[in-house]
Amino acid sequence: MTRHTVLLSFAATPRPPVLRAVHRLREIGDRVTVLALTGAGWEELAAASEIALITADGAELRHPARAPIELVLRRAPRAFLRRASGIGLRHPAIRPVGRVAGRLADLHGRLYGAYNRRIFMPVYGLTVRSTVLATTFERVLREVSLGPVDRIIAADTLAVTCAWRLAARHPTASATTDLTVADQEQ
Amino acid sequence: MSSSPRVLYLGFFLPPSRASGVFRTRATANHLARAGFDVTAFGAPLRFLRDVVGSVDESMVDTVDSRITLIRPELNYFPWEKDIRQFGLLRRNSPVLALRAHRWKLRRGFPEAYASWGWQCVRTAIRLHRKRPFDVVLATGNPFSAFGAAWAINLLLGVPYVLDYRDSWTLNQFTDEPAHPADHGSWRWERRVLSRASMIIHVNEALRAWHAERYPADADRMVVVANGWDPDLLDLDAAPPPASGARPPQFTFLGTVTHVQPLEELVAAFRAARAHPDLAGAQLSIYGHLGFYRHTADPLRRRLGLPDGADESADGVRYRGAVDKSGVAAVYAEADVLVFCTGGARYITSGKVFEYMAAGKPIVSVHGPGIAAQEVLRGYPLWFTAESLDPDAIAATMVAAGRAAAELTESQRAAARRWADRYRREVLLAPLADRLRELAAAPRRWRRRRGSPS
Repeated sequence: MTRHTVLLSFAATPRPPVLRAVHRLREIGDRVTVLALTGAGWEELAAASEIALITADGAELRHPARAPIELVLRRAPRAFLRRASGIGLRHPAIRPVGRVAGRLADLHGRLYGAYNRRIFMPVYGLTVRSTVLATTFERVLREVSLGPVDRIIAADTLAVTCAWRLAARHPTASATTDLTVADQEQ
Repeated sequence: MSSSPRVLYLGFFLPPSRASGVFRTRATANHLARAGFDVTAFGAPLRFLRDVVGSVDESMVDTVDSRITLIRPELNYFPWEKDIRQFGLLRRNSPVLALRAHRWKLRRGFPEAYASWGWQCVRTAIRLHRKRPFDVVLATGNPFSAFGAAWAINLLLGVPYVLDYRDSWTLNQFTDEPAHPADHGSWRWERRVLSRASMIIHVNEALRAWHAERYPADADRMVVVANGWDPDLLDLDAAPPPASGARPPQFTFLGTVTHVQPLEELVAAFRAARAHPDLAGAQLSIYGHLGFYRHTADPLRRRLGLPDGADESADGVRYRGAVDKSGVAAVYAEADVLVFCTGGARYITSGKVFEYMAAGKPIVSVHGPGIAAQEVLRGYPLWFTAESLDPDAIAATMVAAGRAAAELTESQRAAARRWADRYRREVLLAPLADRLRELAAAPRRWRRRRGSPS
């Protein structure tokens, strides 16, 4: 009987050892479902029906832990400044205001980018991101049935929380961070 | 109460481990017990050997001297635990934070995955020392947490210590390059542990010289205690004689096959050698484990020309599986020529070469030129070497070794075994035992720093 392996890879694009692990799993006859943040790097395998790909495209940003911050610090100021800039530039009487608003919009973009890169993401990634992603995928998986699962592999550290929760829902499945399980079995 | 000098031996790879370091570690502990020391040995936890490394030889347990008190301090399994269901609360909810915290601890403390074992050794040693003091500590690495533990015990209790480098810590012996980046904590720790050691042991002169050059202030305490062979594990006289009658020449490799060995060259050379009429139908039997971990077997099989789990190839290569200690002598007895195949360069001796010499059979070398093992093989009368990894050159030495095996006389064999006798383990370890006795007998005030009266 075909074994069903769910591999979770939450890196931006899959690392070579992860791709090798998927190929080895396919070689030993496993049916492989990959949970990834986006389809980047997985397109070829998915197109060839080697894997079933489930992604959370953008869903992380809509999570309650991120959405308010996104709204207050990025989306709302950006929308306001862009709108002010647009209105100002359309009306000659307040064109200087429009230009200032445009510059402020650029400045806001740069400041937000720096804050996101240097402060938010390091702290967020270190502390709660794995939990946010686990919750995000729980929502995604409510709409997609995985069916029986025999093996769960967390391919990177960030995927561990999600893998652990998945393992709790599939008590008979093995759950590991070991990418060489296929090599050990052959 | 016993008046024997009390030695604490920090030897992670004690039986039932089947790591390559187990033989020297086991033999040292046994030798000290037989030499009248009261030996307490700290080894790896059994769970680590059985579940993490997954390679044990239970038959080795009985070979540990019963007078040795064997204790197995625990270690933190964080680096090795792969089963997500076994992860703790922090690791499963904030895995990135848990990993970062683990790495921080390694950076701040001892820079090795086995550090927790080292600290546990220190705690256990202090507890035992309070009941009855240790006179001297002997630590063998790897893992080098044993060195760190010996240093800490000396710092806290004033017990002198000796370091036994089975492997190099900061030198990659296979590439001759530094094993760590310049800012890695290992360099700082190595300098620290060497500075207080009473004696520093290396397995060959090349390694001693490398360390002496790098740490000149400690060079006067560096000595060589070569590896050797263990007569109690190799009763060649008790082995059954090889099957009688005409049979094709048997070439034998016995040991752990690893990724650093020139396996492609070995197979190509053997294929070429078999084309010679003298070696028609010859077989190359590989005995031993394929790698140290479960997942390393398949790639090594492929390199040996044994794909898809096959145990035999058309080129006469046969994988015969692992052999426990009771079967080793029979393997040597069956062999006509022993194949010494090893990786690395001038710092590599390999423990197996001593056992090979003890068998008194022709040995054909398959390794790069200039490795340290040549120091000991050079005087062995039945050594055949191409001094290169060129398959055709190796094939020629295989043919010559096969011919020598066919014409081997009893006196030639006796001469070969006489050469090997100088590498009996008890001969090599005797000076170490003497030095440990001196250190143990030294007055307390000597022990505070290096503990050496000399």
